[in-house]
Amino acid sequence: MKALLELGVQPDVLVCRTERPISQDIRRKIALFCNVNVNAVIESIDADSIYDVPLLMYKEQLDKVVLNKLKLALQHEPELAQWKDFLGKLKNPVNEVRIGLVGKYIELKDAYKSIAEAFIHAGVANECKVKLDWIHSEKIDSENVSHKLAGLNGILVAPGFGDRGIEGKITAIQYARENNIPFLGICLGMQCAVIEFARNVIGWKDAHSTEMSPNTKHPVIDFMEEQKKITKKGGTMRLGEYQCMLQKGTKAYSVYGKAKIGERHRHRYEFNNKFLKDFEEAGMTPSGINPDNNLVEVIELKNHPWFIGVQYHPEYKSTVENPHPLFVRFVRAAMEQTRS
Amino acid sequence: MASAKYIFVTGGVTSSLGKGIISASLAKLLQGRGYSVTIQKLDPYINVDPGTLNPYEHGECYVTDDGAETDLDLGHYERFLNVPTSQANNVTTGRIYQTVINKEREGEYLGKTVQIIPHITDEIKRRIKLLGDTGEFDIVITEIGGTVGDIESLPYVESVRQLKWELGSSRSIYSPDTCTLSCSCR
Repeated sequence: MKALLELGVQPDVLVCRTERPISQDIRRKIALFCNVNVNAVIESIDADSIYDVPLLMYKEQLDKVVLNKLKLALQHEPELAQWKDFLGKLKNPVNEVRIGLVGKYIELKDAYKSIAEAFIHAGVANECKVKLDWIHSEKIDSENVSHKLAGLNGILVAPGFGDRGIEGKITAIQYARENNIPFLGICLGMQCAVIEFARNVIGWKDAHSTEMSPNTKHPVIDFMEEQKKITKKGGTMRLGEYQCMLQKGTKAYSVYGKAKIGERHRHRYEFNNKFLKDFEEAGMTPSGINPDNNLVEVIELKNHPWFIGVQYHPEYKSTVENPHPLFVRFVRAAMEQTRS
Repeated sequence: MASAKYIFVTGGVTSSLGKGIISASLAKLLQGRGYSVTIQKLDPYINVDPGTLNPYEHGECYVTDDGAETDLDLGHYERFLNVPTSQANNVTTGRIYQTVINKEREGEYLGKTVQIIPHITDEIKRRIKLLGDTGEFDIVITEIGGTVGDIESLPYVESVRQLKWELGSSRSIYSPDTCTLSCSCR
């Protein structure tokens, strides 16, 4: 506050983070010493969920204070019916599932922020509490996998880059596939599902991505053609929204309920179409394809209750008002798993 | 449509303690009252975007429809407002300097000495006004990342000071076109 004033900026509103409610006396004192109106001292008390904060700010009339300052009309009271409905369901779940999130950055949960939030949205859509078990991919091996993943109703293998933790991810996927546990693989998670299938179902023991094993005889995941000329690292991946066509009759199609979708991407490697036929014959279906370059965007298994891998990042598009269908249906599959 | 109004969100003491959520919550309330609102994040680091940052330090890299690699706060903005963001919603010091230095190499400064004030601050102000000038929004909330008083944030706070003056003085001395929030921490 003092630093701001020293730099010549007088704030109009003070938002004060606090553990306990701020009394009127304290508000008056803060207002007096900081040259703001007492109504413009806003209490921001610790909340259970970030989704509580709009209502807490409404209670503190932050919107009114700001609109008055900006000389804008208050118009009507904020329309928050849908938001409140969301909060009601968030706090009163009738079901519970445990989903394992397998990744290599789990020490910092913010590394998977959008995925964690997408599960909250999808949980609310199903009136189900989603308990996330954060599992370090480096700590999974074939010896301990059944112990590490015991009791999970669903397994998500997270996006990432590089070699570290890759074998743990592949082992977790094998466990999900063989034990009929609902599985969602995102980006590298999808690529690992392809590698696992090539090794353990098709029988190519050396199958790998050229990201980790440049000289493998079965490069089932390969560097994208358009990436080969690129030498700079920053901002050069395949980024942003691209179209994808889903094949009718597949699980992916039933999740979205339509053929044409657009999702956001961030990758340099892709499914190697040279091997597409082998995968299809062995039971892995390429259910979503980019219509412009034939890139495989979605894979799924025929003989598994719910096993989907996506090259794109569905988590970026999930919002409170529009929970992402892949997460909604994944949570539903996990709920069904609890009953089996 | 009348010109957009600007709300600046700054923070003291510790960075990233809920400023993004406060911005998103305020935006949600204003949206609920019928205003078209967008939120912009200005990050004071010199990386051009967070795409090259270690997830251990900065958390997830969020990606927008138009392919911008951005701060994870943009994810909160989208999740709260249900409106897509774009490259213009996240600006870093690296991107500001890159633009200014490229312009200098093009000869656009006509032999002038290129300085933080006015060249860097002018570029910051241009980026802040970019979203307001689209005509799509009644209100633009600009969140300044980092902590007021850090050497990295100085040009941003100076730009806010100038904008408060410039936007306000053209219409009224009470500056009703901007509102500045300061978030403190316990």
